[in-house]
Amino acid sequence: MNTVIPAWLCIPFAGLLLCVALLPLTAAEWWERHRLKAVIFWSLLFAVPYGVLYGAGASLETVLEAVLNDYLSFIVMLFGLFSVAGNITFTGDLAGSPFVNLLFLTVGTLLSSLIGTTGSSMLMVRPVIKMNSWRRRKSHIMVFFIFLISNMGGCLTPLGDPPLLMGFMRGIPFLWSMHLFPVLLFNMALMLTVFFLLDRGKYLQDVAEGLRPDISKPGTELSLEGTHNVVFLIMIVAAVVLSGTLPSNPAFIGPDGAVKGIRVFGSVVLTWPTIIECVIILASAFLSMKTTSVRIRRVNHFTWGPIAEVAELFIGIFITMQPALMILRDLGPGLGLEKPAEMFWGTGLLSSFLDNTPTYLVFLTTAGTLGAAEGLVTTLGTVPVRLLTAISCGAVFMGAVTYIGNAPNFMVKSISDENGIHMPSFFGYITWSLRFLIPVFIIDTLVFFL
Amino acid sequence: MDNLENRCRALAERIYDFDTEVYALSGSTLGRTLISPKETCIEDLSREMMVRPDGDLVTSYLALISKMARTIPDRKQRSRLMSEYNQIFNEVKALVPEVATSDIASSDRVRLNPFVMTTTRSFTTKDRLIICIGRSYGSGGNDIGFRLADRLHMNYYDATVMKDVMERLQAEREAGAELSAKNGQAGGTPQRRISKGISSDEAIRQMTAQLLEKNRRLKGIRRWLSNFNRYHGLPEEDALFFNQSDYIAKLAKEEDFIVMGRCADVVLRNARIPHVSIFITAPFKNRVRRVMSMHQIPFREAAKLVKRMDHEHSRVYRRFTGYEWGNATHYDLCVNSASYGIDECVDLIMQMIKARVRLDLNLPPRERKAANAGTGAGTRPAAGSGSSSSEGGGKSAAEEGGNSTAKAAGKTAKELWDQAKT
Repeated sequence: MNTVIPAWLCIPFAGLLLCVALLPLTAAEWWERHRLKAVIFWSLLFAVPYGVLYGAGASLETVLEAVLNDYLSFIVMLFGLFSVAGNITFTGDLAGSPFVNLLFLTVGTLLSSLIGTTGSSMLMVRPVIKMNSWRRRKSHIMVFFIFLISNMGGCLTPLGDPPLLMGFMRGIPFLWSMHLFPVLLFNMALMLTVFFLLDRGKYLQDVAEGLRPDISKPGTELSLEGTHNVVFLIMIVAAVVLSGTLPSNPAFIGPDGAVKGIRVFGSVVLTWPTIIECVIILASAFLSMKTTSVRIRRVNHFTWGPIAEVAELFIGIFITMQPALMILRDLGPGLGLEKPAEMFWGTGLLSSFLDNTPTYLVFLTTAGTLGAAEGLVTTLGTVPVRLLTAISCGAVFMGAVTYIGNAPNFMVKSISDENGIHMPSFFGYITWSLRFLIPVFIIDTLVFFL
Repeated sequence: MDNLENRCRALAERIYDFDTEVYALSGSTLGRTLISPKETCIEDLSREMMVRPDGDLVTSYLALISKMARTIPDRKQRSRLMSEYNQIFNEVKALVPEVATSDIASSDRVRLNPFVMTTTRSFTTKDRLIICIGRSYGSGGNDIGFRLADRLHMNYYDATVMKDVMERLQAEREAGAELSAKNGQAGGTPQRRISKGISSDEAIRQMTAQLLEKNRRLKGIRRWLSNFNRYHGLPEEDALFFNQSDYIAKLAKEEDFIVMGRCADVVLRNARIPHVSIFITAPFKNRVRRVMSMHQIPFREAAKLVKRMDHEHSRVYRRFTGYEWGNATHYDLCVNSASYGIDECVDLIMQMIKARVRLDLNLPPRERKAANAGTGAGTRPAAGSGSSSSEGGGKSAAEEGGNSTAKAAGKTAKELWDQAKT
């Protein structure tokens, strides 16, 4: 498509986001029952006018492209990690005190770079909920959980967050992201300090009301059940890495230079690397469910509710955000963003609402076309290290700004909601981001990106 | 209003039972929605429904319980509970036009205050008499509490007694667990141990003593790690407070007693246990003068000590109760000991207790005994006896005798500070 598509085509995306934000507050029962219908409505509201403007074929192609090439691998990975992590249970009698919470958030954040933000979130969310079950004020713990474990922690390796995997596929060395360690460390120090002080205040409020954990049993016993599922977790991580590396393998490249796959419709191809990734992940999930006792899922309060909610909402989000991504692809390189701070905020703010992987790619491509003499040599051109740092941090960190900024955010909210934690609404969560995250990003800009 | 109160309470009970059932049927171990003890939850909910049935607290609790209810795997049970939820929700909504706009929050306090005789539930001789005394350092609060305990024949708990009791209880629990683990490992049973000449009680006693000694010797990182394990990751100060609070609440059901500090007034209020809360203070200069004469230290040192102790009391009270220490609105009775002197203060409090709480104390001893025979009040454990003694509980005022603070004479301010901190 050569012409820039009209901006009004983004209205369905905005409409869907508003539904996600407002309906759970104003008409929760209705939203619960008719969520999927609302998603279909907004998706059609994009596809039909788009079909009228550019032809039914182009519309179907755009929708299929979004569903098969973006949404499918996204939801399969989420499903796999959700299923496998739900089969691992952490039993123990650690009480959720500010220090213990701090410890868990630190470990979870660092774990995110090893098994991905989604994997780490799914693995840690239940133990954290369980430890704090004696407390009344605990939604802030889950909010900081999303900030740190579900987002920031994923910046150190391509395994951490999909945008970095895309960068790795474009020629950025696997361990290059370790350069972001000082930024992560700095942010962790700031965020965890703020968290500790906040949590301490809330903890003391709970204590003042007479709430207290059961510490009658002498000594602390911790144990993990379903540990064999770690093998399946590793399989899923390996599948994600494969999906990133196989497309550059000559065996998967066709004579036309495109990645081989099954042609579905028009130019939409379901590539073999995606199929392989999905098969491995689904097989892992299946084996995990078959080899783990139902008892473990029961004590974990494992239900399909959270993944069903995410699957329903995100198919709509992936479809309706296409016009916004097209506009970004068309206008991104011409925006004149050349400085690290601009790249950090540009990539970040768009990643807060759009899928951070394409956003990252748009800005990486822009940086690659600036013609820098020094920097990292990628398939998109030479990218100055400071620009790459800013783009990577923006894409990974600012996914935490909204519930839809990164896949695990909504999952954590949904699981928390089901387990007696009153999570903030969509806008309520954004106010948390404005109060705690944005100031940290401003400090990041001053320290690292000016 | 009574009718409304009863309906709110019944509804609160239904909400609590509904949450219990939902949690049980969900099979989860991650924690339920209503986490406080049953009675506390019911009182909180019914109070809230009488003031704001459509407020945040009630609606968010209902929403969270319903979310959990939707995850129940059994379809029939789920649908039954969702109908129950709808009924509860409609009944709560129906309360909105009925509720009074006036604030009734203070009724909660009134109910727990035995001095008040006009409440729906007046204090009876079957209730335990628990007196919580807060005091500023040097105000003579400890002496007043001690003499009061002596006059009322009640057990007396202060920081030192409480610390000893808590340490021993914790060590006993650990010893019991360790011993049963050892017996289990060796394939032995307590009976086998008895046959070897050591009874299980004796074995626990020996191990308790060993553990106490071992814990006292631990220092630095080893002590920190040991405490992390013992107290489930909680700070030592907090864990001790939790254990102590549980112990005070348990004791309050078993015996009459006087407790100095320990945030006991708020602990008992949270546990919905009737008690009398008293705060004793005096002007700064009077307190310093008293500390100077008691400990034979110069003015500057005494003033410094008083300030530090006040600060420490204030810090601990705020940390664990969220309230301002010494704020008159939190107590049933505040006394300026400088206006009355120690003996007059004791008389004053005794008069109130005789007039309002223990009418039997006005009778001559013989008649009192006869009057109490039917009520059980006369059978209350007197100082130094009762269930607490068997657990090594409070010290009897009669046993202790004399002025405990006077014993501290001759110590330096630093020594006194260290002792007080414990």
